[in-house]
Amino acid sequence: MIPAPGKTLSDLALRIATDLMPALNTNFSQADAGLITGLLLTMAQDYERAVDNRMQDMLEINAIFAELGPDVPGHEARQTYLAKTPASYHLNDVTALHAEAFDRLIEVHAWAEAHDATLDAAIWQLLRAHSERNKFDLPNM
Amino acid sequence: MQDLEHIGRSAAGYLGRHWSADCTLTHIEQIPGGASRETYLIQLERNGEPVGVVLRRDPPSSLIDTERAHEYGTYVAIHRHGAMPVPEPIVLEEEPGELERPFSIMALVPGGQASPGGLDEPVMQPHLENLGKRKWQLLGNMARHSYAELGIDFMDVPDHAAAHELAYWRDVINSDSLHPQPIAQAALRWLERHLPPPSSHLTLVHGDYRTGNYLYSDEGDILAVLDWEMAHIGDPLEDLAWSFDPLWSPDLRNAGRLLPRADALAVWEAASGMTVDREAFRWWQIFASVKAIAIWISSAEDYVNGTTKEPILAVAGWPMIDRQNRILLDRLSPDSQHQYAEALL
Repeated sequence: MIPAPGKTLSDLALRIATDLMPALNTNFSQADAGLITGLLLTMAQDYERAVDNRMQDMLEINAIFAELGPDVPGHEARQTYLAKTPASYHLNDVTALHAEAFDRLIEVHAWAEAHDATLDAAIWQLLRAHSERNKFDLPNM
Repeated sequence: MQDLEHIGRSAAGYLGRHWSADCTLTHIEQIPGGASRETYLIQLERNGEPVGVVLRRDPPSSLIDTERAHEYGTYVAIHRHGAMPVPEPIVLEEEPGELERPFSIMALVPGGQASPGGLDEPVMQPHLENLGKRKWQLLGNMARHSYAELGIDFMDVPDHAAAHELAYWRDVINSDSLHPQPIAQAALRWLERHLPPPSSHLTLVHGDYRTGNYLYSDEGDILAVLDWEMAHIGDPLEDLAWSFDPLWSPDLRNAGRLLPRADALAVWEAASGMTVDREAFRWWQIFASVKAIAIWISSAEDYVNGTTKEPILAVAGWPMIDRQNRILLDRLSPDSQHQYAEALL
């Protein structure tokens, strides 16, 4: 079997929605199965992209941080963060470093709002790109 | 884990003692969508007469951490006053007893449904406008009443409603986030910078006034407003803004799948006798999205660290955070294209 977990999860969601849900005999069970189908579709979409999306976020955050001088608060913590790479490319390790990047980004954004409109706009642009990359395509969402 | 029949028989036995009547179970089913409580529709015979009730039982874990007594007390007060149509509250039992967890029981309101998706059915299309008018008329009518008239003296009266609500939901975001939330944090800072002055008129705020939390008939009437667990004393613009959040409507032009936002606003103004302060209302609209994201963050935390694995908690905590983030981005970022949320009213 060629490993295709995202496709497999989508196929499982479809099977539940089309074959199993109609056979359930209460509204509650059908609603529950609908939620589980939605979650499987969410996982299917995130499975292949999750590590790549976090790495891309960090690339863009690092590019912003590289332009910042020591006058921007959190300089030392940013330098410590910038010197790191994920402990591995397992999702948990990438997510841990991504959390650190976001913590530093929040600090910089709060400062930029009061002191640097260009930087503030650049961070909003980065957040929009992050949000579009991580967008889920789900029915009724 | 109790089976449905056992829950139904236990509830029938409890009500038999409560009413000093002969109660037997004839039907029970669990109702989907009750994220904060397990909800069961129960049909009984009381001394041979058919009676329908709704049982709301505490789950091991809840989407919204609220006190059942607070919600039940609100139902009692609203039912007594008549400020909005609500189901008749029958009993609150805070001891676990035979149903294993605390519960409340209300009279069944027959002939209504709450499903947002049901509004898309062809049978409802001719009635959406009237339903929308009714929805915001009811909310406007409630805003006419001072909180002091409603018998809700078990609720705190905030000095500054906006600051009070902001502090509460900021704490939820900061304590429950499993991952840093740069968009929610930016929105919190915006809310702090633009805090409106203290509200001149305080009233009862439902706290979750949206499509899905009222029972509507096929004729376009609202039979009952449900889910008062987040009710509190506050600014009436809070409910109005919450009811307009884009999350509740796939069609961004309409509020709550029902009416264009400007029309809904006009209905509310006529019913409340108030003119909406647009600057304050913009604040409450951003606040609504922040409060929503706080609830989704909290439900994600509950799903991961809590004892229950209800799928609704995971759905709220994952794709709904994603959608709410995009709504906030559209509302706050300087280069917004308003793809996910129209400009604030």
